[in-house]
Amino acid sequence: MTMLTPYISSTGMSTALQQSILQMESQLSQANTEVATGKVANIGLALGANTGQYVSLTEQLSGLQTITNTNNVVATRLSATNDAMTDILSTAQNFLNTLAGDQNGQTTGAVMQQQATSALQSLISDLNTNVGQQYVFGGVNSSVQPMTDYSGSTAQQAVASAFSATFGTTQSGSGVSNISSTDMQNFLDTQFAGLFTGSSWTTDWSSASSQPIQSRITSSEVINTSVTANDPAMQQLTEAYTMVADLGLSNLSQGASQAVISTATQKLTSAISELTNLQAGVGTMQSQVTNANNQISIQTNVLTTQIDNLANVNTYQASTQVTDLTTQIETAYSLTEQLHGLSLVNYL
Amino acid sequence: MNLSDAMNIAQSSLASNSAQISVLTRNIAGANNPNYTRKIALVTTANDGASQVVSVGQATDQALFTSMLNSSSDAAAATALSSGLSQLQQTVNDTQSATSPSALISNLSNALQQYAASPSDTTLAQGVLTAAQSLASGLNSATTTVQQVRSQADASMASSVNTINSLLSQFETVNNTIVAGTKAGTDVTDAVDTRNSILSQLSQQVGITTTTSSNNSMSIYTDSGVTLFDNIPMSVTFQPTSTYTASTVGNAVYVNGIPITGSSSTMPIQSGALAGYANLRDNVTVTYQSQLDEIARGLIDNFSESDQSNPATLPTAPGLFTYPGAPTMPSNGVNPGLAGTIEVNPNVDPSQGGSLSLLRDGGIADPTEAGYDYNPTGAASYSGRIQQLISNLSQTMSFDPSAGPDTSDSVTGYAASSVSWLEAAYQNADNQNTYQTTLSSQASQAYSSDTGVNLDDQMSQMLDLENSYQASSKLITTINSLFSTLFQSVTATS
Repeated sequence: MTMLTPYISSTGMSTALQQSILQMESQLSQANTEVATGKVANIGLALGANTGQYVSLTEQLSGLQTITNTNNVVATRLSATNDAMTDILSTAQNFLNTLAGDQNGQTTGAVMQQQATSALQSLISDLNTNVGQQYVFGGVNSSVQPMTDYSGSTAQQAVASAFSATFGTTQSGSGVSNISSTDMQNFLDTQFAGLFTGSSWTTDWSSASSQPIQSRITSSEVINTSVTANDPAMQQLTEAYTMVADLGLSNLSQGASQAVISTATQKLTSAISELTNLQAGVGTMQSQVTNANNQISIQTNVLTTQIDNLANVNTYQASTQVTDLTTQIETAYSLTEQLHGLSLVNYL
Repeated sequence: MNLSDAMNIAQSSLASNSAQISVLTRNIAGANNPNYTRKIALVTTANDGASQVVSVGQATDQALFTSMLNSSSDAAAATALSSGLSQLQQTVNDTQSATSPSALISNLSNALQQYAASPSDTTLAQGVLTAAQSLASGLNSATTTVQQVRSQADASMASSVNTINSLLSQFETVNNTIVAGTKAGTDVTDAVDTRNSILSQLSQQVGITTTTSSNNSMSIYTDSGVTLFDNIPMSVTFQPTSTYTASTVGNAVYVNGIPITGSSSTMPIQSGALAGYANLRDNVTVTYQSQLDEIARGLIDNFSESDQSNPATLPTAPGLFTYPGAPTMPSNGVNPGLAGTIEVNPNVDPSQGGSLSLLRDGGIADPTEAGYDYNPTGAASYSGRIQQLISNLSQTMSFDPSAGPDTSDSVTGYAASSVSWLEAAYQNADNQNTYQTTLSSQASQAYSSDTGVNLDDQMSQMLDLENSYQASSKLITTINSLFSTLFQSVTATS
C-alpha cells in the first residue's frame, strides 16, 4: 500500500524562492525610487488612462505660471502708464492754476507762454515714456516714439502756416496786436482746433496707434492694457498748451489774449476731467490684473493639490515598504542557504 | 520450493535492485533539469516469486502540462505586446520631462502667450519658433519610434516563424522515435521528455493544442485550430518587411497557405509571442500612429492662414506648421505619416532666410501675398493674430473616429487623450504581462514540482535499495553456507 504524500521536486523548491526574491528585488527598486522622488515610480503604469488628466493638469499649471509672468509685464507697463498720467495730470492742474491767476491779472503773457512751453514739453516727454523697448502710450505701434519735440516739428509748421493763412502775419509779427477777439476765437474754434483731431493729429503730432495693446490676463480673459497718445484728453491738453505757448500771447490785444486764455481754460478743464476718468480706467486695468493674479494663485493651489493627489506617494508608506522588503529579502536569503544545507546527502 | 529456487529469487532481487539503482541514477542526474520528469522503475513479481523490472514509467500530469503550455503562450503574447508598448511609451516619456506631443504643444502655447505680452520682442518670437520646431521634431521622432517598433515586431515575427519551423522539424524526429519505441516496447520516457520540452518551447511562440493517437504519435494545432503537425510538420511561411512607413501594411504569417495573423485571417492565433508581435505591428502601433497624424493635422489646421482681404480670394493655406503637400491643406481624417513630415515653415526661420515678424503679422503661408497679412501697418505690439493662435489651440475640432480616443476635442485635449490612451494600453499590457507571467511561472513550477525529482526522496529510496541489496547478498551467502554444510555432511557420510 502506498501512502499519498504531497510531492515537491528539488528544483521546484529552489526556483520558488528564486522567483520570490527576484520579485521582491524589483519591488524594492521601485519603492526606493518612490522614497527618493516622492512621486510614483512610473506615472504611466500607476495612472494608466488617468495619465492624460495628469498631463492636462500639469500643462494648465505651467500655462498659469506663464500668464503670471506675462501679467508682471502688463503690470509694469500699467504702473509706468499710471505714473506718467499722474505727472500729466499734475502739470495740467498747475497750468490751470496759472491761467486762473492771469484772469486775476497777476501773471503776464510772457510768463504764461513760457510755462505753457514747458508744460507741453513735459506732456510730450510723459507720452514718450517707455518700458524696455516699448513706448507705453504708443498703442500697438509701440516701437515708434509717439510724439516728437514741438520745436521744429511738423506740428509747429502746421500751426504757423494756419496762423499766417488766417491772419496774414507770423505769431511774432507786428500785425498780431490787431487781431480782434472775435477773429481769434473764430480761429481757435475752427482752423486751430482742426490741427488736433483726425488725420492732422496722426500726421503732425502723433505716431501712436489708436488701437490699444491687448493682453490675455487669465486663460480666458483678454483686456485692453494701455492708454494711447491719441486719446482726446491728450489732444485737448496739447491744444491748450500750444495755443498759450505759440500764438504770440504776449503780443496779442487784451481781447484776443482773453479769448486764448478762456479757450485754453475750457480745454484744460475738460481734459483734466477726461484724464481723471482715463486714469481711473488704468486703475481698473491694474486691479483686473491683480484680481487675475489672485485667481491664478488660487487655481495654482487647486491644480497643485490635484497633481499631487494623482502622482504623489505617501513617503512614510514607501519607506516602510522599503524596510519590510529588505527584511523579507534577507529572510529569503537565509532560507535559501538553509534549504541548500537541508539534504539527506549530508547525513549519509 | 527448494534452496536453488531461493538462490534464484535472491539473484533476481540483485538484478532488479541494480536496475532500480540505474533508474535512480538517471533521476539524480536529471534533478536540476526543469524538463526532466521523474522516472519510475516498474517492478513485478514473476511466477516463481522472483522480482524483475519490466519497464520504466514516468511521472506525468497531463492537466498541469496543458495549463503550463496555455499559460506560457498567454504570457509570451503579453510580454511581446508590453515590451513594444513600453518602447512606444518613450514617445510620451515620463510625463515630467516635456517630450510628449502634449507637453510640447503646451510649451508652444506658453511661448505664444509670452510673445503676445510683448509682440515687439524678437527674443520671444525666437522662443515661439524654437517651441514650434521642438514640437514638429517631437512628432517626427515619435513617428520614427512607432515605425521602428513596427519593424522590430516584424523582425521578431520572422524569427518566431523560424523558431517554429525548426522546433517542428525537431518534433518530427522525436515523435518518430517515440512511435517506433512504443511499437517495439522500449523505454521512450526520455524521448517523451524531449518532446514535451519542444512543445513547451513551441507554446512560447504560438498558442497550441495537442492530441495523442493510439500509437503515441502527437498532432499539434494552433489555438485557432490550424494544423501545425500531423505526422509531418506543416510549413509556416512569412515574408518579412524591413522598412516601415505609416502606410506600410505588414505581411501575414501562413501555415500551409492559411493566414493565421492579420485582418485577412479567418482563424487568427490568439496567444504566443507571434500573436503578440502581430497585434503590436498591425493594431496598437497603427492606431497610435493615426493619433500622431491627427495631432499633426490639428496643428497645421490651427495655424493655417486665411485671406484677410475683402472679398477673400486666396485659399486657406498652412502657416507656421506645414508639410510637403502645402499649399493645399491636408484632407480631413487620418493622413498616414503626416506626423513624420510636419515641419515648421521656413518662411519664419531666420536661419533659412525667413522672417520672425511673420509670427506676429501673419503671411507665413506666402510672404509675397498681402492677403495673408493680418497686421498690414506692421504695428510692433499687434497681438491679435497671436491671441487668435492661442485660442485656436483650445478650439474644438473634429478628429477621425478610427484613431480613437476622441472625435471632437481641441488639439491640446486630443494630445492629452492620446497620452491617456497609450498609457492605459501600456498599463493594461503590463498588468496582463505580470499576471500571465506569474500564472505561467506558477503553472510550470507546479508541473515541475509534481513531475520533477526530489533528491531526498531518491536518496531515501537508495537507502532502501542498499538495504535490500545487502539483504539479498546476505541471503546468497547464507544459502551458499547452507549448501556447503550440506555438501560437507554428504562427503562425511559417503
